[in-house]
Amino acid sequence: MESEDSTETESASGDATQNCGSGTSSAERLAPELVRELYHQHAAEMLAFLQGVLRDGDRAREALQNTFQRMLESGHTARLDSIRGWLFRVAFNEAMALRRRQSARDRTLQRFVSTQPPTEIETQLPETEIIRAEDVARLKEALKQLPADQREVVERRMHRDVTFAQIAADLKVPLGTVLTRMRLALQKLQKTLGRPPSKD
Amino acid sequence: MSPTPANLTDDPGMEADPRFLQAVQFVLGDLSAHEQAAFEAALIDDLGLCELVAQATRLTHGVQLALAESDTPVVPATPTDVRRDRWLVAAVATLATGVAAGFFTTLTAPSTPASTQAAARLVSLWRDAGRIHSVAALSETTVDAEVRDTTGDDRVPNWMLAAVSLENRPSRPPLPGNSPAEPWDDN
Repeated sequence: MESEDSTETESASGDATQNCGSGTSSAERLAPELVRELYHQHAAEMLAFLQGVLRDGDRAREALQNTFQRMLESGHTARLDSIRGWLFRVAFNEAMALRRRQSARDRTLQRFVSTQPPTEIETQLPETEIIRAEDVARLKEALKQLPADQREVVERRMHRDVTFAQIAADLKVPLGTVLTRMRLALQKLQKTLGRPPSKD
Repeated sequence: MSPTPANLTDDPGMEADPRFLQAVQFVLGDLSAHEQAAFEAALIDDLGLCELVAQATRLTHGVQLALAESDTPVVPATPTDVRRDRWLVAAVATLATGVAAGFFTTLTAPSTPASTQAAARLVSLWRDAGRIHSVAALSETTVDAEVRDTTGDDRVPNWMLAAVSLENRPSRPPLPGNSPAEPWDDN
């Protein structure tokens, strides 16, 4: 499993002549300071992506740590101008690997793994949030500006966890109408949302 | 390659990526197994779609937080609270029933025709006695005491009401020379 993921990561790294490093020895690995800087730049977006894929905050954080652990080990094989794409790809592979491992792993092994001491990067990298408090405040205001029918769909689906089909049945409108209201509301809310939190 | 999220958010005139709704549905777990597999297969090679998923997650998370903050916190009643409330309601209901029953009993004290007639007669005699001062059996001290006992000229003194109620009780032999009916029995 691990070797398969490593192979995928290596194959995604691109042209070796334009990579961050030119070799595979530990001496040519990315400097921890550079990894830390890249973490500050991309961790929030990666975490949001992983949380969307895994729908689990804890597992998303675990996959994020694995992703940057992988960057520490083999990030030098990636091109600097495509490091973001490289990160997304590695993160997705880590998420899929985590999902497969979780489905295959028995409960005893899972308890054993959860008691393992954290890796070096886990202890050094700061906590990451996927959205800032000011973004939430802006979204709160934007929600008030939405037309009532759009806000109702957003609130029912995202807050009360009602399915779109059930919303359509409750409001006695076609499912397409509900989805259209949701899409229009999302367009407006999307414009409110700032860039992912990062230090730069 | 699809437009980046930055373009989507910064240019209001630009049409949003039609896949954004699908990304939100993916994040919310609304896609069927087949749709989800196809979506994840597209994620492998599509950086733009990965960015859309990240943005959909942030938006979904942010909206959920914003809506949760807008809600008035409601503390659900625990079983202990419900039991305590039931006891409280039962105690208040019992107390209210007792007070109401006592008040009702006081208002509806048994009244017989004889007592009603005697009371009317006593009231009439009392008024007459006050006007013509012909109540020879009453001492001056007793009258003064009764005047002090009343707050108005035409009020019936308490001792008279007590006498009426005594009259309705089982008869007992009157004391010699001290019959309560004698002083007013001018017929």
